[in-house]
Amino acid sequence: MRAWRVHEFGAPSEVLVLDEVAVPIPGPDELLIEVEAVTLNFNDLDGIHGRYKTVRTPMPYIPGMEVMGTVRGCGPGGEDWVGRRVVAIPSGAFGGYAEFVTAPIAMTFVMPDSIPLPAAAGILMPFHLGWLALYERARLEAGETLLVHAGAGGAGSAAIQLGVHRGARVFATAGSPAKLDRCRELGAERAINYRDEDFVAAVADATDGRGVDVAFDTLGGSITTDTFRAMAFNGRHVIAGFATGIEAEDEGIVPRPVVFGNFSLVGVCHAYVDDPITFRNLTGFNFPAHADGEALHAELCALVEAGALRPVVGQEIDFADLPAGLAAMERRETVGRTVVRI
Amino acid sequence: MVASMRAWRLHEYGEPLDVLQLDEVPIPEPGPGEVRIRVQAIPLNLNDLERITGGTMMVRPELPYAPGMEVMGIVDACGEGVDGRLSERVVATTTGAHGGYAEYAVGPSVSAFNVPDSVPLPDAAALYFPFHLAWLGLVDRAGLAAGETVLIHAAAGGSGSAAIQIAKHLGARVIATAGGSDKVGLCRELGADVVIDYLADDFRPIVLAETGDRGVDVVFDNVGEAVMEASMACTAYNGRYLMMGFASNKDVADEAFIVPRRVALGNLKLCGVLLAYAAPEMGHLVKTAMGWNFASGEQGVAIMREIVDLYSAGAIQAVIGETVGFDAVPQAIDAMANRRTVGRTIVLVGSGS
Repeated sequence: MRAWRVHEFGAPSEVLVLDEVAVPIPGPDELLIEVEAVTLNFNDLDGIHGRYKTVRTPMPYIPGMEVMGTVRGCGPGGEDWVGRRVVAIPSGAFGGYAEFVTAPIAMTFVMPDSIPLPAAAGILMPFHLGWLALYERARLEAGETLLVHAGAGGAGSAAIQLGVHRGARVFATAGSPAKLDRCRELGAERAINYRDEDFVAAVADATDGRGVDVAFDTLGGSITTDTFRAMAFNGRHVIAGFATGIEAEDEGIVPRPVVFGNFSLVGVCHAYVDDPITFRNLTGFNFPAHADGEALHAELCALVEAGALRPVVGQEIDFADLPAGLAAMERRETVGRTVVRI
Repeated sequence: MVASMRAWRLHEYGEPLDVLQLDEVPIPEPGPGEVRIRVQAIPLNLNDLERITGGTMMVRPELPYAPGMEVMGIVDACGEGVDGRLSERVVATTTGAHGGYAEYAVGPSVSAFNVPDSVPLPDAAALYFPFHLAWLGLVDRAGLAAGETVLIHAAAGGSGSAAIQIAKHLGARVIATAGGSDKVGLCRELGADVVIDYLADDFRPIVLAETGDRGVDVVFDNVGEAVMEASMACTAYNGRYLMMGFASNKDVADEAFIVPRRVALGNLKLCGVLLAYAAPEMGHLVKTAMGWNFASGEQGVAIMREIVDLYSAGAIQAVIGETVGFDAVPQAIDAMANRRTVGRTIVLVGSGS
């Protein structure tokens, strides 16, 4: 099969090579998916640059952590899945820039035929993450205020919509007039250009100085610590990503502003396992069960079908143009998600 | 004639027995928004020690001064803008978190809360800091629900012993840690379902076993660094980790201590909890200048009422280890510093009336 592979760490347009490689073989509780579309993620870029510490990849390796396609084969335990149209996070969270990929059943969800491409390929990462973050962990309520950073991006555009759907007042930050427009179209009451406006002051202005009840923060670093100043009493600050620099994931945060701010730092990790208890005994970490993911996935798909949620796919590109698509994302030129058709 | 009073003051930082001296000083005047309290009782706090030894202080008072961040007594003078509080029986935070080791003390009216005569001394002096902190943490921040499980560290301490009682009142299952048989016994007496003597046992495997490997829904932690990683490793999915103090290493409060990856992989909420009340204008100033959030006076009044009601109904009790006279302040705070006390130490001033 054809696959874009990284042979050494570096910029995507320099280090990705279109190789002919063997089709992978699914192991126990794994599925073989014929990839119809792969959707690009910021963490792909971190992996390609060699900055991503969460997953250890071999070298050379095929990046790609979010795919949509059809199950063509399986290891023991996956028989029921063959033939299903699915979205998935591949095994090890890489391998998706290819015509075929394997994925654990725990990370695979059925995508109904009623949701066509490219929307079908734009749902999994941002909407699951946003749902887990805003609904399950932060318990966002109607009438509360929500600040969404990078509101025109993939995760941000989903978070704005989930906030609006819940009945929250949503404020969003973005870095260009076109992106600000996009935030407003999605339902943000106020769009803040972080390049020329102090977002902390703008939030204070919009909330009578209280700050926001919930912040959805995919940026990290100094944006995160600045956002602490914009949190309300009893607020929930969701740490959902580190787009301004993945190293912030392992750089400590000073507790005092959190304690004196009387708010909560909310961790959210979008990954499902078959058996959360066994997993926590092995790792000390808490991951939700696949069954929980299926329940929220069904609700999400119903809302997308009803038109209440709209995956924002700003770019649809061909497989041959994948490195260029990554480069555009790296330059912050993209809006919403970039879906690569295979 | 300038009215004077007795106050335990320090003229230089050091150990309580070395530096606290009984001085005759002028009675302070309440400033705008403040009340003056004729002190009947002084509940000692471990944090008073910081202001005696010269440790961690947000604002460093000018020497010489009297430590003491919490007092109980009768309002005998009101500053500008404070109406209707004269003769009120209150527990209060002192201005600048010092000045309480004295016969009279001033504090912001917003953080002086009414305690009715029906609550006798010394109990009346023991219901403020620990119970408000436990309430803000367990009720406000964590939303602890009936049937959930909470892990309470240093559970025989002031806020820990309050937390056990509030948690039991809420219908939660309590797993407590404490060091030594006296403290373990106190935790059991207060209603803890499981008590772990951390001097003898590693708490993490016990907590996991007691929760069917799920972990606890809420952690009440004012110990900090020494217990944090092991506690997070036995916190459940969607758990709430109350970060309210760093007794085991105060420095980490200002160090890059929280690793985001750990919080994300834990899929938990790391909740900051601070006991501080502010009037609207001060709250706004703190928010604008520092980005911090203090609770409102109205919230404090509501919490105090809940606590007094629970006390009156016999649902909670003041946890008092000893009561001492005003002359014994240095010895009493020294005993606290050396962890010789179980429960709160209340200093009764004069006849305590």
